[in-house]
Amino acid sequence: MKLGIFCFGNSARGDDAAGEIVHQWLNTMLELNDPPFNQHQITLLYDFQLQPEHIYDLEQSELNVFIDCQHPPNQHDHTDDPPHGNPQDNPHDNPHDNPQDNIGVRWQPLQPAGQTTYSTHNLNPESLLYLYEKCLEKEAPPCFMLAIEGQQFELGSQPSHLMRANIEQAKQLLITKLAQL
Amino acid sequence: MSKRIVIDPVTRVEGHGKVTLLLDEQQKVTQARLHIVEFRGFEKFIQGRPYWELPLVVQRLCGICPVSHHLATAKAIDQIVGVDALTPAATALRRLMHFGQVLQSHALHFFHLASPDLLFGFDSDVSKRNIVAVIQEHKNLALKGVKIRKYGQQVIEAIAGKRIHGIAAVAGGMNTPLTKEKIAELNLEIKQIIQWCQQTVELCQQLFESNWGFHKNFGYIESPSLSLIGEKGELELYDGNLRVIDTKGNRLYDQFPYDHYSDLLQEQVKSWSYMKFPFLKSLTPETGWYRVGPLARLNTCSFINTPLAEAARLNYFARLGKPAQSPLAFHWARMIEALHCAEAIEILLSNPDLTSDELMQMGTLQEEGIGVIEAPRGTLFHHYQIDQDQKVVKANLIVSTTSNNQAMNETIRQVAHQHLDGTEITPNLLNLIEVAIRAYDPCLSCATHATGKMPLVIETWDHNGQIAHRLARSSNGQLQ
Repeated sequence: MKLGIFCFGNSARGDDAAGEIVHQWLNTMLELNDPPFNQHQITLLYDFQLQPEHIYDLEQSELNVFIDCQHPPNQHDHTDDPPHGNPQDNPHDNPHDNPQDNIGVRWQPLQPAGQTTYSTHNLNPESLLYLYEKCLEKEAPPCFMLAIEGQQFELGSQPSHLMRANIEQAKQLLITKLAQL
Repeated sequence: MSKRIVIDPVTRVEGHGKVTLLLDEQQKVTQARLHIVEFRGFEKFIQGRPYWELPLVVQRLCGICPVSHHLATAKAIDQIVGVDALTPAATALRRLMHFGQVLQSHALHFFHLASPDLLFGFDSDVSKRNIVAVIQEHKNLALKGVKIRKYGQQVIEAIAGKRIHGIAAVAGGMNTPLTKEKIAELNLEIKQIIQWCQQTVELCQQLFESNWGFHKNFGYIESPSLSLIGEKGELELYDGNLRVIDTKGNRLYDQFPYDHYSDLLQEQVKSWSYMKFPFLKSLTPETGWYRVGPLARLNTCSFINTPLAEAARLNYFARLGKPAQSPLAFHWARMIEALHCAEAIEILLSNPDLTSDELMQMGTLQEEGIGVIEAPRGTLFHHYQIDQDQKVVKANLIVSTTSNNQAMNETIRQVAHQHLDGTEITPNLLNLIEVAIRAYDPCLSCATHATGKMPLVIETWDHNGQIAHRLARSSNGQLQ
C-alpha cells in the first residue's frame, strides 16, 4: 500500500517534539527495512504545522497517518475542535473511548470538516481533508490520527517523561496498525 | 479617571494577543496597548548554545519564517568565523532561499488571513473569514495562493533538502549546491507563479480601491519607515545597509551600516509588555518609533530591480502617494514584494553559480556577529557574542513584530478612536481591531501548530473600575 506518514510539531516546545521524535525513529525503521515497514511504500514527511499545500502530499498516498502531540483530555482546548457535527462524533472529544487505544495514545479515523478558526495560518487535520476534497474535487484518502499525549509546551522546555513513555506506546501501536493494513 | 477596555486572551498557549484600550473621562481612546507574549525567552533559549548550532536552533523559533531566522543567524556567524564576503555561489543560494521564503510567507498571509477580510468585508460573519470560505467562494483565487505558497516551499526544499530544519546555511557559506535537475524542476513553474503574483497585485489594488476612502483612512497613522536597501537604493531583502525616512519621505539615515544598529536604535522597556519598544536614538520614544515590513520597504527604497514589480511599485505610489502610510496598504505592498520575489527567483535560476561547489570561506574567529535581514514581516536583527568556549553568552534579537510594536498600538488606537462609540465593545469593533493588527502580519502564530489563535475577551470598565460590558470570542469565532 502507498502510505503517507505525516509527523508534525515543534521540538523547541517540549512535548510538541513528539512528532519529530517519531519521525526520526521512522526514518531509522525505514532504513532497516524490516516488517511491517517493508510491507508498504511509505512516504515520510515532517513539518511544523499543517498548511493547505499539504493536500498535494496527501494526494500521493492511498492512506495517510498524521502523528502529533496533543494535550491530555483534562487540558483539551475545545476551541480547536471542528465546529460542525455532533460533538460526540468528534474524535478529539472522547479520546479514550476506543478500547483498542492505549492510555496516552490515540488512533483515530479522521473525517473532513471545515474549521472556522480565523486568526491563524495553521489547519487541523480535519480541515486539511476538507480542503483536499474542495480543491481537488475528489474524496480524500482514508486518514488516521496517531495522537500522543503530552503535558508541557513552553518554548525551550524539554520533552516530559510522560510524553517519552507515550511515544514508546505510540511506536508499538503504529507497528501493529501497519502490520494490519 | 481613565477607563480601561481590555481585550484579553482566553487560551492556554502563547502566541495570542491582548489589547487594552485606555479611555479618558470623555470616553476618548488615549492609548492602546497590544500585548504579545510570544517573544519571552528567545534570547535565553539561545544562550549557552555553541555558535555553530545557531542556524539550526533558531529555525525553531517560528513556524512561518524559520528560513529568515536561519539566514539572519547565518549572517551573524559568518562574522563570528571572520568571513566578510561569501563566495558567489553561497550568496546566490542564500538569496534564492530567501526569495522562496518571502514568497511563501507573503502568499500565506495574503490568501489565508488578509483576503477573507478584503473579499468578504470586515464585518462579515467570522465563519467566512478563513481560507476554507475563500476556497468555497473564490476557488481559483485560493488555489493560486496555495500553489504560490507551495512553490516557495519547493524553492526552500530544493536548497535545504527539507521544507524545514534543513541545514543549508553554515558559518562562512552554504552546505551544498543546487543540482541542475532541481533548477529544471523549479523553472517549470516559475512563469506561472509570476503571472499569478501579478494578478494578485492587481486584485489587491482592486480590493483597496473598491472602498477607497475607507481603506485609505482605516487606522491611518504616519510614521518613519526603516529597512535595508541595496547599494543603489534598490529594494533589498537579503543584504545591504539601513535607510530611514521620516513621515514625509525625507531621508533621516542612508546607507547606515547595519552592524552599527545599536547606534541607530534604542529599545524602551514598558512595565505592561514583554515586548520592547524600539525607537530612533536621535529622536525620543514618543517621536522615534517607526515601521518595518512591506509598507516601509517600498517607502524607503528608490526602485525595485525587477521590471514587473517596479511597474507595480510606481502604480502603487501613483495611487497612494509616497510615502504610503495607510496600514491596509501593507497588503498591496506585500504582494508587490511577492511579485518581486517571483521575478528574482526566475533570474537567479539562470545563475550558473547555483551549481558551483565553491561554497565556503574561512576566516579568523571573532567574539561578536551581527546579522540583519529583511524577513517577510520586516527588518530582523540577530546579534550574538560568544565566549572562549565558543558558546553564546549574549544574544539580542529585534524581530520585525517588535519594531512594529508601537505602530500597531497607534493603529489600534486610531481604529478605536474612529469606531468606538461609548464604552460598548461591538463585534464590529472587534473585527476592525483584528483587521488592523492583521495588516502588520505580526508573528502571533510563531513556532507551532499549538499557537496562533487569537481568542479575545473584551471588557468595558466604567469609571468606578467595574465591568460595564463584556464580549468574548473563542478562536473558532463563537461569541460568548
